Amino acid sequence: MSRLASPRPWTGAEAAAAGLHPMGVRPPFRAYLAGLWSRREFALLVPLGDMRQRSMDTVLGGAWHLLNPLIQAGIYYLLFGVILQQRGGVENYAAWLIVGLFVFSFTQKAVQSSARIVVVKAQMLRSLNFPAAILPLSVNLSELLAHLPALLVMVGIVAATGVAPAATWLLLPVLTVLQLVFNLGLSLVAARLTVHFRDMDHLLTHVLRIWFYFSGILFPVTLAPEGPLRTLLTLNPPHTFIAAARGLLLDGRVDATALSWAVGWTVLAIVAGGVWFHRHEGRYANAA
Amino acid sequence: MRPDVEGTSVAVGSASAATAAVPAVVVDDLHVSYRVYEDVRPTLRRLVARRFRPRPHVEVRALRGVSFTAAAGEAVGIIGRNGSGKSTLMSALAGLLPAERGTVHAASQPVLLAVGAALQGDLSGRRNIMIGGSALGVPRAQLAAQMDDIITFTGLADAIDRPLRTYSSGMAARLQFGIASAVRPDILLIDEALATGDAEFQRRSEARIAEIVADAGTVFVVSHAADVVARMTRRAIWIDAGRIVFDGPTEAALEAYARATAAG
Repeated sequence: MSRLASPRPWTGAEAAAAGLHPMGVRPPFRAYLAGLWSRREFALLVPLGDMRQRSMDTVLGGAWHLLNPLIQAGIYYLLFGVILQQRGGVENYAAWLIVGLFVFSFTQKAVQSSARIVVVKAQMLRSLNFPAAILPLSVNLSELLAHLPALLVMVGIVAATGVAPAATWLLLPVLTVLQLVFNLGLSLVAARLTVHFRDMDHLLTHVLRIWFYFSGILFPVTLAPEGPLRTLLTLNPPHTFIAAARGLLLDGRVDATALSWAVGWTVLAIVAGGVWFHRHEGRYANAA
Repeated sequence: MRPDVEGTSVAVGSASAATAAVPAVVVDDLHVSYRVYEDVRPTLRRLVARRFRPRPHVEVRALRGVSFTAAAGEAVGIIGRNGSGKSTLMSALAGLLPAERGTVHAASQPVLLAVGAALQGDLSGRRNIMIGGSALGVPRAQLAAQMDDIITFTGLADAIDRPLRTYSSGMAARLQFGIASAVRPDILLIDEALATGDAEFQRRSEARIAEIVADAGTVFVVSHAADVVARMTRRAIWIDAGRIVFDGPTEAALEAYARATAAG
């Protein structure tokens, strides 16, 4: 082998000692977070592009973001409020139902669309060097944007059913941000699970549906007999968010118990999801 | 475009001056393997049926102990047959594939320019420049300020607001090259991305590459076109079956490679 004008070959140890950066190595957690932060604009551009893409070919365009939650609310109200008269002793069932429905669907949609994102964008990960967690993060921002019109519809319906506006309504954005973080934690777990088992995508649909019925959306959890089952339903993460939102919007009060459980679940979800997702970083590009 | 950097004057070898200095890229005994799974989807049913043993797969040992050091201001050609490990090497240099053994060190984050790098097909070229640039960590304001220059460089002014999926592969390569030059990387890895452009664009990209090298940057060029490698580099590395066969002057490398290919 002939070597001419090229530099003397260095060893990896020498290179490290000279201050060169190692490549293809999972960055430490803090550096990883810094990498995410430096690409925050990317995290926003991708969902904005997706939204533009989705509404480009439809006649009603962006109006669907408002129409979808309205139609969905109408169907459930017709079914459970009018036909089945299944109100579970709840006053103002329409508003009560809508709040539960919309709060839950925020989590449901975010987790469901995050699950496949790393697998779908594997080609992008193989072409451009960026932290993979930016993908579930961008899905969650996208779902947040889609959720904002739903929140407006929700508040509108609550007001239309005769609930007087209260100061606690102003806390709804805070609760939404908290839920966003909670969703992101679950999304990170779902996205990594799907990398290992593609079936997760399908399984998740059913897991989320079961979760829907156990989160006190259609009927109050107090219908369950008192005991461990009712405690379980009450403390179940989506229900803590729903209960907190119903407290703020319908009763004009801060449900401290529900809220502190929601904070707890959020911290647990984001820490567990963040740490576990980061452990596999550097290998997501192989997911295809 | 600087008129003085063209054609054969492209290759800039400053290696003799750089031997004492800290190199730009150090690859030490690099092994990269990846798994290729059989063409069955990994499902839970199959997982249970196999009693949770791993999926059937083949371990492709794409790189088996590659070592070299490249200086700042050096342009290095990478040649070899299809499947010899050239593209894997580029991905590993960019940190997109983890090393199984050995290390890759670089003075700064290398930027990979590869054919078929996926952006968002339904969005316009302009939006893809924003997305690609921001994925590489370029601030949006800087991208916006450079947008006109980038578009001029790519020569896609007429098509820039059309969806990316309507672009030909040559046009897509131009767009990518534009994005990469917005980042102004010190280390640029070009994997066949020049092959799809027309002569005019090739000339312009080669000039841009020469600028990077002249600014003490480092460029790796993977190409099947011997003339591109000969024009742009003084040093070439010939890889076969994941190992370096030859590392030296481009002329000698191309000659040896051509002889081996002709011999079959």
